[in-house]
Amino acid sequence: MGLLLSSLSLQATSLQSQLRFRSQVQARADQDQLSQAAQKLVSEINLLHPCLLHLPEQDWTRAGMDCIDASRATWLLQGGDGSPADVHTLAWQPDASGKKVMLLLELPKAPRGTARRGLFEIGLGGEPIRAWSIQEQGLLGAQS
Amino acid sequence: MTMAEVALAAVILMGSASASAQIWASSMAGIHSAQQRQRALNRIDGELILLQNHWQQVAQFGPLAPSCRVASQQLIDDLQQTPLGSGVDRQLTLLPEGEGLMVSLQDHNEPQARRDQLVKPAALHLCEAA
Repeated sequence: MGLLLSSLSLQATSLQSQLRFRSQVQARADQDQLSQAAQKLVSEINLLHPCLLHLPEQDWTRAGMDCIDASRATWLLQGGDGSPADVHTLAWQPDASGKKVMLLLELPKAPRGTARRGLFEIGLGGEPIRAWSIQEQGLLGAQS
Repeated sequence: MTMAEVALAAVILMGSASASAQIWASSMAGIHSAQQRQRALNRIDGELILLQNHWQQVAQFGPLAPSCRVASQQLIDDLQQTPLGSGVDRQLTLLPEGEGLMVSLQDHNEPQARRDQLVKPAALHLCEAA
C-alpha cells in the first residue's frame, strides 16, 4: 500500500514537471515574440520617427504632430494593421532624465485566453539622441 | 484462513507490488527527464543572455555602419566569433530584406529548448536611414 501511494505521488510529481516545462516553453516563445516586436518598434522609431523617443505614447496620435501622421502612429501602437495577433504597444514612457524609456508590449493572442505582457527598458544616448539598448525587464502573465 | 485464500492474497500482493514498482520506475524516469529538460532550458537562457550582452556591448561601442544591411552582416560575423556552450546549436540568419538577423539557439538533445531572437541593428543605433 505504501509503495502504491508513493508511486502515485511520484507520478503526480512527474506530470506536474511536464506541465511546468510546457508552460515554460510557451512563456519563452511569448517572450521571444514580444522581444521581436520591441526590436521592430524601436528600429522604426530610430530610423523614421526619432521625435517619438521623448514623447509618451498617448501623445503620438495627437493632432498637429510634425514627424508622424496619426494613422502611422496608430499603426505603430497597434503593431500592424490591427490584426488580433499583432503585438500592441501599451506604454512608451520616457523618464524625467531623458535617458530611458519604459516600453510595455502586449501579446493578445496567447493560449487559454491570457494576454502576455513584456516590459522593456530602452536606453537613449548619442547626439542626435537615439535608442541604443533594449533590455528585457520581464514577462508579465496578465489576464485578458 | 485456507491455503487458497493465502495464495490469492499473495498473488494480489505481488501484482500490486509489481504495478507500483512499474509506476514508480516510470515516474522516476519522467522526473529525471524533466530535470534534464529544465537544465536544457536554463542552458539556452544562459547562452542567450551572453549573446544579448555581447550585442549590447557592440551597440554601445561599435561604429555606425554605412547601411543597416552592412550592420546586420557585421553583427553576424561578430556573433559567429563568440564562443558557444557545449550542447547548444546556434543559427544566425540574415532577414530577407537584409535589415536584421534572427538568432536561434537550440539544445542538441531537447528541441523544445529553443529561443529565437530578432536583432535589428537600427534599434541599437548601429545604422541610420539611408
